[in-house]
Amino acid sequence: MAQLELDKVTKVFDDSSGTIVAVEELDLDIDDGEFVVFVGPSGCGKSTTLRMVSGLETITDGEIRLGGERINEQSPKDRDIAMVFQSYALYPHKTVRGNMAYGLQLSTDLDDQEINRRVEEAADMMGIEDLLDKKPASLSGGQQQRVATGRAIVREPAVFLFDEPLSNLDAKLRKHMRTELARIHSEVGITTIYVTHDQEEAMTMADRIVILNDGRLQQVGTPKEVYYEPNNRFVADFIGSPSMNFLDVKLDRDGTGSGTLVGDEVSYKVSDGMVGNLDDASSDLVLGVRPENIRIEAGAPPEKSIEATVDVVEVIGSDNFIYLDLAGQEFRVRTPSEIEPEEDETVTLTFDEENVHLFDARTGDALVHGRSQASVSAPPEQSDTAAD
Amino acid sequence: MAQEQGRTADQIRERYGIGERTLTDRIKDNWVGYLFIIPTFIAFTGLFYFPIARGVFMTFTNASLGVTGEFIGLDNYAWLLTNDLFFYSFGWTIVFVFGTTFTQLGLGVVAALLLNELREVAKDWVGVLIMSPYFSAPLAGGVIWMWFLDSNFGFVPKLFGLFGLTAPSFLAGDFWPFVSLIVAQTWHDYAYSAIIYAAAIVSIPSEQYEAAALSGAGRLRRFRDVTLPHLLIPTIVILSLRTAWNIAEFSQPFALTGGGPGTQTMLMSILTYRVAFVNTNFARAYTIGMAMVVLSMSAAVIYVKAIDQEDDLYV
Repeated sequence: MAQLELDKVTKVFDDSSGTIVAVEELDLDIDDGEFVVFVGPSGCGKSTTLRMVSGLETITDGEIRLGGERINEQSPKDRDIAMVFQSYALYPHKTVRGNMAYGLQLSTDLDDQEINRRVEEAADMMGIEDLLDKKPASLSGGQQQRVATGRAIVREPAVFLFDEPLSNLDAKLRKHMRTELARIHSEVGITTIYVTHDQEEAMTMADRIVILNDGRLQQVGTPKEVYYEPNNRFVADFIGSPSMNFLDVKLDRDGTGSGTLVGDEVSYKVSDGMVGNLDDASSDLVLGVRPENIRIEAGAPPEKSIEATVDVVEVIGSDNFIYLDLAGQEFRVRTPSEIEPEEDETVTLTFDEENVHLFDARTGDALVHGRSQASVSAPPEQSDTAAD
Repeated sequence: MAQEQGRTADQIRERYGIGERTLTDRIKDNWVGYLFIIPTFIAFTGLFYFPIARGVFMTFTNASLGVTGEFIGLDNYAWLLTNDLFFYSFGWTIVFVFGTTFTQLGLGVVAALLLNELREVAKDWVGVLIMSPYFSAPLAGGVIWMWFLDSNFGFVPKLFGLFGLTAPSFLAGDFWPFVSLIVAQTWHDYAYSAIIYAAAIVSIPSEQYEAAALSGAGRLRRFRDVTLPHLLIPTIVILSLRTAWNIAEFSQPFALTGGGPGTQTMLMSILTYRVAFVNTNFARAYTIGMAMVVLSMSAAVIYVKAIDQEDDLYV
């Protein structure tokens, strides 16, 4: 059990194929027992960070502290960290029992009886008691995943690391294991870092999400924080599915402090509360709004609505994903399943001001969130019904 | 599947009209396929199976060079079993084969591990260096080792001389000729196991090493618990093939000692040659050959049994 601190951690790969900064000055404090998910596109440095924490990769610069103690120079076996690999990395010649007992045999003084007891306890937790005497090759992918997780749990380490552990499973099993892992974490309460490229996995499992891109930290926050108040355009785009719509707009102010966001075939009136504090220089903006916050509503007030042509309608059962053409750009809307417009039909779209995000067009940084005044942890009822 | 659907195989055949087909039906359906295998079939029969059958038959005759011979029953086998030199060479062949094969295995692992640690360019060059004896002609290998070890003009005795020492006679005496032959043979073929082991080591997933390292395994433990188990199957393959080849090995030992001094290092392969081409008794030579076949097949059976058990390990 321990707190894990990353202090300006940097990793540079410098070899004949070039010099690459994989992770740059990453600062992060992970509390004891916290479940933190690293998420980002491939090549963003999330796995490299994980490997530096585990000791499988050296640290170019900065410091990693576990329970207040610097561990940069410690070898993997001295760190009291257990890792679950994407490929599971089970030893093919050992039984499930042998695989799970291996770490305990090497790193503890426990006698065989005690090791056996702990292996069986962990197997029980993972629901693999019946498989203990089988070899990995005779297990299904899901069972192998359970064994790999069990092998980490049985050691009761200070920190758990998961490197995309569910990527090799089919969609249904993946969702099931997701809940299973969350349940196990709440049972054992061990500090966990979980790496994934799947934002949905990150949202559902994490206490806090760490979003990385190009080796740089983009945002750290609870799932709701990163969803409702993304730091920048990258986070806004990455979190949520289908991803957020972005429109290039300019702000036309009127005398009262409120104004209108004007872009190609777009005009949307915003209040003083939204844009009153915006700097006058920042008139080149990007309007962001999530597909689930948009309604198709024929009688919407013209100053708060957009017209677009339906391109494709995707039926997924509970909802419909509607892809529209707005001035040559794709615009995504998520509607209840009974709302299913015809293709090539022109529809009127509207959304509430509190669901609008404004970004600086040049830097991509978030300037205003429609809901920033409202409490993030308890979003207003009204918008939820709009999204459902 | 049949059971899962609650039907027997017969019921399914009946339902879909899949009857027993006759040989003519099958030939009619697949005549092109048969056409393509006929040349190979003829070549194998004429050049492989027929000579083997003929050779086996020959062991029951007194055929010699240029003479077909007459049927003499088991006389050749009786001669074999009462011949001291045959038993001596049988024993020495077993020592030679296992001494060579296992040394080749050990050296092969070391060479493969070394190769695996090197960077790309160095790997290619060191690889070529390690492989070169294997690609040299065995007869040339014998000559090289002779120049190396001969008491009168060899390099090693000269080297001993430089330090004021007297080298043992490597190709004569009670002990050294055996060692020399095994060492020379190991040198020639260890690269074969190195190639196969290197391929096996490359295919071991690095995550298994990393998982072991996180579990607290040091370098030696990782070698024992991750690398070695992955080398078991290749070891069986190398053992079977190298054993068969080492039993049949002739050129290099022949060039180096020729079975001498006297008959001291007489391998079965050299004995076969001498009986056939010096004594011109082909029937008896072939009978010794049969003993070599029995030896390699027994070894193969033992190894295949071992593979069977190995399969159990992975399921």
